[in-house]
Amino acid sequence: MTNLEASAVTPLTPWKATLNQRLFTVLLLAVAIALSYVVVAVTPMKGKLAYAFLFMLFSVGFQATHAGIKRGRTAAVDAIAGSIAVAGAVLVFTPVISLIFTTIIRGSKGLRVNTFTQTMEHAAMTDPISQGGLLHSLIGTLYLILIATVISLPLALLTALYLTEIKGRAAGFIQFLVQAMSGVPSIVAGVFIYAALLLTTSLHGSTIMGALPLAILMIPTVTRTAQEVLLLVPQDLREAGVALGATQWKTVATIVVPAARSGLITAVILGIARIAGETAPLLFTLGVSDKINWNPLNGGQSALPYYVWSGLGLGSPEAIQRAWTGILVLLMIVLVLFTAARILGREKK
Amino acid sequence: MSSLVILSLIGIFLAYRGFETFRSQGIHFLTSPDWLSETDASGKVIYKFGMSAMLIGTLLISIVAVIVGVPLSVLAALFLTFYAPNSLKKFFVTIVDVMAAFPSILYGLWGFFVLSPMAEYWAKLINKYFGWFPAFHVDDPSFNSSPFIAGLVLSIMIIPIVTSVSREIFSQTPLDRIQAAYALGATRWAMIRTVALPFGASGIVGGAMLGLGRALGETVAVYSVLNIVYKINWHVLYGFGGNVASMIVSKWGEASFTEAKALLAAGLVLFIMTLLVNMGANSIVTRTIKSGR
Amino acid sequence: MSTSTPSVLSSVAQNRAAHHEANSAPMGSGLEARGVHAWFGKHHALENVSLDFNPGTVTALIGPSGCGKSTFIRTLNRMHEFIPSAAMAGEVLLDGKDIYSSGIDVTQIRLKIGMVFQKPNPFPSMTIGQNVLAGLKLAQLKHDNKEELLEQSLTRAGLWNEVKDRLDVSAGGLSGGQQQRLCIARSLAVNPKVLLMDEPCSALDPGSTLRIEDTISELSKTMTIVIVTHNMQQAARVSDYTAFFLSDGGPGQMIEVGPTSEMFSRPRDQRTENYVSGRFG
Repeated sequence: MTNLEASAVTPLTPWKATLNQRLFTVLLLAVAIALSYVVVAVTPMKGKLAYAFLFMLFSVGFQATHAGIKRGRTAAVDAIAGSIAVAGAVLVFTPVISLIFTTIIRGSKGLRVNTFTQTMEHAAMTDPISQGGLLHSLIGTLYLILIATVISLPLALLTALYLTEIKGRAAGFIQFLVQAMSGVPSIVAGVFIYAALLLTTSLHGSTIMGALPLAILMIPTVTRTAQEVLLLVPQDLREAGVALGATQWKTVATIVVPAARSGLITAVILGIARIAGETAPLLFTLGVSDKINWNPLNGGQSALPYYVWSGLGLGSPEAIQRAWTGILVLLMIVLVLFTAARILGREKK
Repeated sequence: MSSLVILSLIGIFLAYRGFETFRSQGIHFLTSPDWLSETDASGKVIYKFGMSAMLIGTLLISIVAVIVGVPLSVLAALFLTFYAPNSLKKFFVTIVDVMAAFPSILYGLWGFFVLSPMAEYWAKLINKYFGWFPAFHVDDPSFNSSPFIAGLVLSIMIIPIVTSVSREIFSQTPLDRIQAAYALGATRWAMIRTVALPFGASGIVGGAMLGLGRALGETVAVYSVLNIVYKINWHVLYGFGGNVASMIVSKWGEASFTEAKALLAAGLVLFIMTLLVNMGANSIVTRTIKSGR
Repeated sequence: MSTSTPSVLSSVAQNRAAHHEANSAPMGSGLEARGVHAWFGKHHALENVSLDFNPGTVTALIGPSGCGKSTFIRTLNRMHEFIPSAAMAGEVLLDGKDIYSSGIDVTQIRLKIGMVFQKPNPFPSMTIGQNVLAGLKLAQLKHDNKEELLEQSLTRAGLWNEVKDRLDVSAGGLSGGQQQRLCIARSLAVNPKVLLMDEPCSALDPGSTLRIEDTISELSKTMTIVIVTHNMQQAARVSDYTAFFLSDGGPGQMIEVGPTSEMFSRPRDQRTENYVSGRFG
């Protein structure tokens, strides 16, 4: 029977932990912390590891015992499993936080105006930070990205189009190839370009040589993302184009690709993010330079990852500081690219 | 189309360069631990190249990476799929994806300056309590820059891949089976144990293999934290070692023409290894996702 | 109030009532819903449902799609709360105790109140035998004689003869009707006092449907059964009591409940009359 006063009833969630239950859990955790300190003080165990280990032991033990007393063995096992899952997640997230914070803290110590306005042309990596900068590496990285994109974007796009639009007989094989290519270690790409082009010819390391292995690494990433994006374009658009009398290629060029535009841009950004931080291939193909080199075909070049690498290799405090600052700049670039790709990706949905 | 051309070019050229070395070395290239050139009595230079030290080192470091990284990734994936409150889920997933974007040299820097000191302490503990196990034995107390530390850094690097794949698989666990388990009075862990894990098992294996493929070819991170010495080392806690990629880099600077070709051959071997592992991984993962098993 | 329209259903229901004696010593358990509401986020899906399920009886919940029957039945074994943003109000009493009170172990409740779903969902990674005993394994219950329990549960579900020689075979090879009976056996193995069934036959062929209806009649001798069904003939065949649910665009409500034969021949509410005589739904 209908009841007109039903609107006065409040929705509840009695299955969720009540305030009292939550407070009790906090209490258990606090006791676990306290007990860890006591044990460390009394026994020969020491160090952060000891605290972490003891805390885990006690907190899991308390919660499991509590659950076991109230609800039996399965509940205790469930509590232990839950704690282990949380512990796993914490162990996974801690390094990430550490990575970001360490980079920011250590890297920012070396930030100066001259970091961005000067190159290493007149300074050595071991000189104090007030001299020299990474401008040449920054420009080198951007240059490399530009050339690598120019090379790989058409190839990747055409391959993606072939796989999604044409679906010819070779499609399965090419799909397989793209997947295999995406697993190529970066050093192998660098070594290959070296073997193919530098070993037996008179060519030397240069920007374009450095861009080639990066293109090899970039193509599969861009292709795969482009594929996904193209598949999202509704079939009716294609049918509409063909119904209007256009050939398949014309339809693709004028309708499908523009429809997927933001997704394709995302694909390129992801590809760039993939290669921006690559170091190994550059060691074989880029040559060296301590100044900006605008000639892509001749003469060595620097790049941010290489800047960091050489700083680390030299080992002096100033060089190490430069390395941290360099990686900070590189990380910022990568994070900006990553965020841009995310935002674009969300917009199209 | 063009990717076909490029990929086969990689294989062909490396193979061509490599075969020259193979011809002069034979199968010993893979099994011998020596890497040297010596001059014999008549002044002729003899080259002896064998990459077994590289291969064993790669194996050791990758095993550590997988043993540490895969369980952590699976736990994190379980946490994200079944335990995390909805409001925090997106945030955590973004963090894992960001991890994948970090340049490997960042892991190298951080691994050397931040992780190494702590890992050295852990290695000492392991040696103290488990030193009876052959792999954990050390000849002298030199725990710095060991394969163990390199393996730890690599384990963190493979976590994003393995976690993403595992999470995707777990989130596809059929809802009706999950409900059946709960309706029978299962706790959350009991449900995971009987429904989610059997469902996701093969997918996780595929994800682990993808992580392995990533670990096999890692260069700069390993080079930064590990004391690269060209010698076989089975003692994972002991302070030297290397893998194929880092050893190529370490020998590259002073390599003669012949030696360079041998290094290229080593690169070819690495390429084939990672190719096989990745192919296997991809086939497992796609098969699992398709069958919806 | 309503001019009674003699319907085929009422005669079926009366037929059942005549042949099926109400139990004098039921082994079932008393389940009562008091003022149950349910929400999905802000959407008020179910309003003020109060219903008593007598031990040893079968109660059918009928009504058009989307009026809250499935939501209601899921509040009875606390499966409703798995939906994110779910909320409820009211009480559900099992043997006098509210299953939503704090401190209750919900996994124990679900052992006592079992559920069979619309789409059969045996665990594919397990054999037939393992499926039946899965409830024991999940709850880590001990049992002295597992083979006996296995045979008993499959017999009660009407499946024993068909699978007794292939208990070690994977459960995926069974037909739809067999799978559903396997799920029933699985629920029975943990000895529930109440069995909830959410349209258990709607995905099955008529032959399997009738066999499961026979099973339901047998089972009702020892437990309380609540069955959601779209099929009014099934409700007439199988249930002692019927509750009619309806939503007029707002939250679903229970309009009327009564002995099945009366509900189909002399319902008190005009809306019930309209539904059972097929004027809508």
